Amino acid sequence: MSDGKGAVGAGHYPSLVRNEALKSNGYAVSLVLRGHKAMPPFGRMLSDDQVAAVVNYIRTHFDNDYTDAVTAQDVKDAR
Amino acid sequence: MLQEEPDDGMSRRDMLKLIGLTAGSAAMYQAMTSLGYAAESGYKGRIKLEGDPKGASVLILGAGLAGLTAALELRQAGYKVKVLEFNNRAGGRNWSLRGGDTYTELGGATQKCEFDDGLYLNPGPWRIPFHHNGLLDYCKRLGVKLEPFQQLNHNAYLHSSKAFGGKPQRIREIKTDFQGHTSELLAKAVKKGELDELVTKEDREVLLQALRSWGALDKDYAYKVGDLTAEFRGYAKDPGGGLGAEPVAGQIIGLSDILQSRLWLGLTSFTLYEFQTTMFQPIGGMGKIGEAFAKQVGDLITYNAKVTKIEQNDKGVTVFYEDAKTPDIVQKAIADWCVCTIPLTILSQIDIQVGDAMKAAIGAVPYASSVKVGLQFKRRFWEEDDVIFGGISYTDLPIRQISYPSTDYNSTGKGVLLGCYTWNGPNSYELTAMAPEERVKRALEYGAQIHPQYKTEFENGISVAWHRSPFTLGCAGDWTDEARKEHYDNLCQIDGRIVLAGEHASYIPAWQEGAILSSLDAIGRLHKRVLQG
Repeated sequence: MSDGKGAVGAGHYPSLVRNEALKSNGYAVSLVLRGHKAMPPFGRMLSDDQVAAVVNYIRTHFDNDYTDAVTAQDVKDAR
Repeated sequence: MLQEEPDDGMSRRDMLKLIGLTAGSAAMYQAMTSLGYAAESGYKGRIKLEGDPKGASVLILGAGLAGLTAALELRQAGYKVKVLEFNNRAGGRNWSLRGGDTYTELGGATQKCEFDDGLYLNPGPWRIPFHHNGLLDYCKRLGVKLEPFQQLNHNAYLHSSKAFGGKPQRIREIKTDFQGHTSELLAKAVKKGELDELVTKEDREVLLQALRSWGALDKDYAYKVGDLTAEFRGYAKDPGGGLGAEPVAGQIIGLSDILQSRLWLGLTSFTLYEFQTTMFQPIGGMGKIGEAFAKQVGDLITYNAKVTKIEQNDKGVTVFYEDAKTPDIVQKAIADWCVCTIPLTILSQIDIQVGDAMKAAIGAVPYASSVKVGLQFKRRFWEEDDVIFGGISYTDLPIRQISYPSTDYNSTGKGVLLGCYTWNGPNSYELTAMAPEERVKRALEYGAQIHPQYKTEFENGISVAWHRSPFTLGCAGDWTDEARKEHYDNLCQIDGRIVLAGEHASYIPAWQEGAILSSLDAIGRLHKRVLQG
């Protein structure tokens, strides 16, 4: 899973590799902050900087190349 | 508290017998509750599914405690029952890892448990509160033998890496000293008249007496080193026999040191209702409960069945599933009704034909993160060197807890410690992200700060990170009050021919009692619906 390819069991974790859902940086920020179904929310656990760092990392790794980085301010506004 | 014998000379038990005989069991239950006996958790005693279901069939999804309870009771009530289970064993999160077991987590890493015979790790639930009457009743019915689980051991440690030079402190010392200092402060305030507006004159005298007793204060209401405080907090040198046996009282830890250490945080968990004595564990591992259920209803279970789709119409329910080992072959199971206990993390990914309200509820509950590590050591050094027999040490290190086995006390030979138990928070996710052997390594490094013997006595370890569990994708339903308000009732309603059950459909999430009570409630309502035709 450290390869970002997700995993499959009774349910699954989606792959992050070349993931088109990451195209919208706002969606990625919202997902990390609020979670979605099996994905837990991290909004209370992570600072604005940390959320931005996670989102920017995922969107520029695992064969993703989205260059419109998010800032801590973007995260703050999305909370 | 009620006195043992009412004034009219009739004992409480006699009175209950009388009520039971004349008014039936429902009235007796009401009376028992109001007199302080009986059901603490909402368990109403053994479920009675009266009336003929006329051969109706029920498909149960999931063979955890909720599914197993439903299977046992519905078959007994005359239903045709089938169970589909993703794992190759029954029990779900009720589970013990023992020597020879293997576990493959999401990400593909497979661990083989190398514990010696009789040693185990409970990756999921590991203790049973005395008021979880439903679970206790099933243990009794299924012949699962219990033993006391030590939650509070006064001689275990409270540890902060940032206080007392990183040296762990005995719970009895922190507890007694904290209680003593705060009692002394309060007594001073009372004597100075600072609480006169809040406490009546009559109560002030009694309050002072109480503080002296509660805080081990001397005749001048001071908390001081001496025989009296040593009787509570223990000694620097315990009393012995013969020459030179005179005890020596230990030094008291200062109030400011205790406050700043934050070790008082560790005292609260022992006082919580859900952790109060007496707690229990099954002898031989928590998994004994799932195994005992499987002896009763194992013939109904299809293992390795991965549910992919749940359909319903006004005639019945159709569930599509794959054999987890040969995923290409899709199979179908058909029944009149369905009790679905699949965790919401997974159910929210399955195509299920229910109304929008239930669908929204299914997608509204994230699951808590939790990591456990079991460590086998060559000898029981926590008993032999540190005089800790069972109980839990709490720490601010990422492992959070070390729990000592509540069994085989004072024996020679090996033992398994719970070397890490996280619940939510960043360090729980950090450990989850590591490879299993790395988690074991971290548990050893951190634990050695509390018990240096780790370095020489360690033999092998195993770890379970619940967000990597293929059959749950998380530990347990982590409801917020807002989500509960909006979605809980919608989650629990019968939707056509489908009803959900599990710890996630209870007010006792993460506890086995929640799974059982949820299941009993669900099948009770379902049975009524079936009888209505």
